[in-house]
Amino acid sequence: MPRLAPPTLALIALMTLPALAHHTYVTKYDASRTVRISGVVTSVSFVNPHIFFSVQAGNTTWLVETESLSMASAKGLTQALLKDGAKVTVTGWPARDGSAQMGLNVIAIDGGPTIKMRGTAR
Amino acid sequence: MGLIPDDLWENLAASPLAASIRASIWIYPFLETAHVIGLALVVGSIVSFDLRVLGLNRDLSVRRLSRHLLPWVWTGFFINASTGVLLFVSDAAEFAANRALQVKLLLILAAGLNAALFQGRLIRSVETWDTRERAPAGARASAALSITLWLAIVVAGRTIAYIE
Repeated sequence: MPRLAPPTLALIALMTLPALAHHTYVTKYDASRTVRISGVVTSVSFVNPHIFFSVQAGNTTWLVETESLSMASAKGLTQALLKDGAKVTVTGWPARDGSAQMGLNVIAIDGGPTIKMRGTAR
Repeated sequence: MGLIPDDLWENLAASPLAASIRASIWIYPFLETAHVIGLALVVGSIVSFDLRVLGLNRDLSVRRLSRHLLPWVWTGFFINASTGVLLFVSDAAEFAANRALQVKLLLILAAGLNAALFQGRLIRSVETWDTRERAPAGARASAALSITLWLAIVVAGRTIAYIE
């Protein structure tokens, strides 16, 4: 046990570090910045564990990640609202790698509700 | 993974089973919840047993404790193997490429080999250390390794959700 303890602790510390420092949102998206995009919904993947959809804004197609199906249901984001061709304004945390991806904070649907899907990019 | 066809994981993720797991409100959270319950059974039972082998509460019979805990280890392992496979299938291409999952599966293999060594060889002399007597160094080393591996497996498992 004493011989095993130091490598064990080192291994656990190494493997735990990224887990303690990040949640999937904060690993992938920059919590210190937000972007706001208006455009047209082009493809929707209404699935667990996270819903993804694209927003065509000018020449850029943004890939937007949001919550689980049950969370979407609780917040009122239905498939009838989030459909191809829907005009939306999305606010979210942009991908750290600079690609056109965001973790969704708020979605405002043209002619529909404005829904806050997540408060922080924790 | 040269023996595995390139599109195997994509095809698996595109299967009706995978699609229905992703499309259901309940299946995914059910699988995740059952996976945590199975984890509690496996790791809780194994660590409890290993701590006894390491020398805690030596008045408890190692053989009786083993008889009590081992069925729960296997119950939990069955729950987690089946829920784990279904969670994997739901997004097979992503999971297959996930480094944390690859590490986790290797660690489970190592823990399995260590357990086989313990159950196949090290426990044979248990009569002489069933109660009160200190377990031999080999058995204690195996128990310490077991705790280490299972904690690392939990960490690797949780890390799957935090990396790509």
